[in-house]
Amino acid sequence: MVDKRNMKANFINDSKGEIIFGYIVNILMGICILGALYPLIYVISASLSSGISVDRGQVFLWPVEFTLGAYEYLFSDNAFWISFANSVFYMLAGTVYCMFVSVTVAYVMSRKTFIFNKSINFFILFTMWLSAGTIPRYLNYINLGMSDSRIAMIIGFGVSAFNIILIRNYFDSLPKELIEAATMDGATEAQILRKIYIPLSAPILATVSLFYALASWNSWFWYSLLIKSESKQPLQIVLRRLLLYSAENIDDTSNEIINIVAGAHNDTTIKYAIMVLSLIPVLIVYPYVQKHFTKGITLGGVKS
Amino acid sequence: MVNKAVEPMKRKSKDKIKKYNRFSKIKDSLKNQRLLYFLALPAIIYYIVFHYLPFYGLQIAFKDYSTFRGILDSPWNGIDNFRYIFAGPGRMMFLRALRNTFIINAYSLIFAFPIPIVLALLFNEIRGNIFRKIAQTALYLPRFISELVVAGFVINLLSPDTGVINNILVSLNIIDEPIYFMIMPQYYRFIYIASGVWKNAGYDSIIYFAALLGISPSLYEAAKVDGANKFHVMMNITLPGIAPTIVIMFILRIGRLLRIGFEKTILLYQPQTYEVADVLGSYIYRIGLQGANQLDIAAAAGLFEAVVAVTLVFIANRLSRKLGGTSLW
Repeated sequence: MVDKRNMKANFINDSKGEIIFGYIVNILMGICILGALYPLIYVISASLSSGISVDRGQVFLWPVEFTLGAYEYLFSDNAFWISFANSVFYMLAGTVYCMFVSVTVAYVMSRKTFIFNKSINFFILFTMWLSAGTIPRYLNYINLGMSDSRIAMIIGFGVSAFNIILIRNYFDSLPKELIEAATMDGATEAQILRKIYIPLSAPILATVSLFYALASWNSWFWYSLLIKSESKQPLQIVLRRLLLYSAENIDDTSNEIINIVAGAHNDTTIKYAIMVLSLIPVLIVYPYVQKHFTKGITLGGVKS
Repeated sequence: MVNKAVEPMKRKSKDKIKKYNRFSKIKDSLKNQRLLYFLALPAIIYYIVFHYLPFYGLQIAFKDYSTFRGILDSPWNGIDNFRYIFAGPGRMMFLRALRNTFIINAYSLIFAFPIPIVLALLFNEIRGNIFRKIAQTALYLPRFISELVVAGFVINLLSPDTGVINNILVSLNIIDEPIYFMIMPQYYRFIYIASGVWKNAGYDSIIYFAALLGISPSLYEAAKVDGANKFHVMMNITLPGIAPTIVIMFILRIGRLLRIGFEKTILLYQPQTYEVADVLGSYIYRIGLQGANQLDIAAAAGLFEAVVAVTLVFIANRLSRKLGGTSLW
């Protein structure tokens, strides 16, 4: 998005007031950037510092007494790797599943010639405005026998009406002539979807996949209610237990990793290290997401 | 022959013809677009099983639910659960949660809502495209960090013994002793709203920024020629240009007055701060799923929340249609 206004502005001589105004804007923006990034920088630095220096409050911006001890500790811990692998599994399988459910229905929603087009649109949109609530949803999952099951966590969660609408809106914006031409040539619905819609929609499909991947990676609430076995817990649940422990609000110390950490001498840095590790996929994926989401948001934003 | 066959058709009411048409259309589409039905199936099953089926369990709001008996066999008890939360022993806690939900939402409407607008204006004023790109990248990022990690930041950065905020304040001699922020009710709402701003403000500015880009450059040029200063431009061109977006976003927020993300609440609040922190979502979670197990009471509170929330959305939508000319559906 090249802003023509700004390029023009450079040709006109700036008044003194405008120059000062420009400095103020830049300074304010700089403060905002620092504010947005500081917690991340601090947590990364603290996770790379020695436990003592963190506990003494010597870390402000850069690592003090640089050490990888916290990470070495975590990497040698089986409980960490199990939860990490679980998170990766939930993320990958969940994304594939959610994309399948979303793309198929988004295609149907964008086919205006389909007789139930409006009904299905309403059926999906309705869920954005009214949900039965936490308790009935919880009972429903329990009654369906979905507690403590990896498969259940994948098939029962994640599909988002908002994401479906993002895809549908993109499908709607594809040139109608192409589809008409394809229909004239006798292409079946399956061919239209596979050969026209999906290849042409690569940007939005990539963006929504990443949205799904991040949402899955970041989710924890339903895992904490439904997953009881430690061997099936995602990383976020381990993190949550550590947080509760740090908040001196211990409701459950059965988890192995907490007990080790509680006895470990640099438990603060381990906590920071786990936060950093749970952030890594987000930081890797973010640049790709950022490239596209501005457009996606404004496309599908308020109007649905 | 032909005429005789057509005559009775004409006499048939229009409704019947419509019905006939619809029926034949369905038949046609079943023949020609069979694949579309299959493609819609996964999502329809997903939403029926995981979104519409739970409404069946909502009946426990009117029942004396016991896990033992299950949803169907638990005895009905009329509106006892509602009486319990509005007039009975559960009154204090429920009304407190209701009050807190409104107060926290109202505060964030006043203090947090304008921040994305200001950010969008700032983005718009930045001269260098590269610097703007950097700023946007940095400010959009927190949205993608989980509530859990955000709560982790908050708890650890504010912790009284190792938290960096306390360390900075103490070393600058602003305070003498570390403050245990997370158990002090007077700080809680500020912390809750500020951490929300940190996470969401940048991302929420996208929609305003997009609206700003939509303002015609010729307006700015004309203002420049007329010798308008920055302040005049902002008051007469920029703000009016994004006013419709602001109105719509504001109305949307009003529609969500009773909805509040409680995930962060249940991570951040402590028994010491329940008084100011407990919102409907966390109240429902705590009495329904933590310890007490009063699922029926929690479901009743949830039903009340849902009904009020939907009403608010309808009102907000009406307003938006009247004022902004746009609506959600």
